[in-house]
Amino acid sequence: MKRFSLAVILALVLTSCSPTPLPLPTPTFTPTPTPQPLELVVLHTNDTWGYIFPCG
Amino acid sequence: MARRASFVKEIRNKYENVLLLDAGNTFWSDVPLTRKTGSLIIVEAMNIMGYSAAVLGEKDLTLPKDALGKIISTANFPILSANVLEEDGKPLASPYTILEVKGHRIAILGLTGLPIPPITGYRVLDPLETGRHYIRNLKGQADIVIVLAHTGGEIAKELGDEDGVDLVVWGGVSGQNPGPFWNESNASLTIIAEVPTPGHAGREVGFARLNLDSKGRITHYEWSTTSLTPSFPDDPAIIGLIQRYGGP
Repeated sequence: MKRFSLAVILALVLTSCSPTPLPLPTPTFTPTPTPQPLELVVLHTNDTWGYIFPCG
Repeated sequence: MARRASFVKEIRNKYENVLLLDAGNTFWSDVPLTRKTGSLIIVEAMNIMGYSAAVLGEKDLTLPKDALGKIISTANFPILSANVLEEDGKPLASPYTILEVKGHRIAILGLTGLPIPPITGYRVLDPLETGRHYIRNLKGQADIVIVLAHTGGEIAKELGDEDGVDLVVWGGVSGQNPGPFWNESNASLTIIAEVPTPGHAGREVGFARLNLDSKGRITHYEWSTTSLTPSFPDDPAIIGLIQRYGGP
């Protein structure tokens, strides 16, 4: 019985040390977008004073 | 507004990345139809045009509080002011907004000029001091910093001197040449669409075409203003809005 228990323990230890590869997460590489040079148009208004139709 | 909308459409058809900004004193009015609508006709027209952001001018603060609240809540775009507080110290509007364009983070900070004479109902902090405080903080959050300032030309120019500022779009009274001012030391541009004079309102739109490098610094600019002459057709959506409110 003692010999059987030792065999079971040995089997368990060997199994746990087996070279079966662990399922490692696949690295996903998401590059941070590097801003590129930009053409930006800024349209701007001011002091409209609630005028619906242009005047002046 | 109807001609302005046509012009904006024309520019959007031509260029990919367009911001449409308003530098203040836009909602206050002595125009009967605008007053009758509590200036909602103006904010709705700006919604149709797709404004990116606007700042409150000091004249806008003289509107009844409920009307101003309704304007801010009706706008589909942020109406900004970093230096106007309610009497209890809460900000009246968002201090700034951050937009993303092609991987660039663009901060737009709103500053309102000091009302003369002072008004009741709000605490208006010094725009220059408040501006400096926010600019310091925004530098780390965005690679392009635009100040939208209804502060007049002198303060606008001082804001343009601040490290980290790329563009100042201003409104209000100018004591100096209202043309574009390029600051070589920090590569910032300071511009105004039109200087308020009697009979001027809604006549001009400013146009700035900026080339920015990958770090968001202006490397080249072109700037001009366009007079909204009758050669610009009336945009049907704006005409429809005006008629809905009982206008001609």
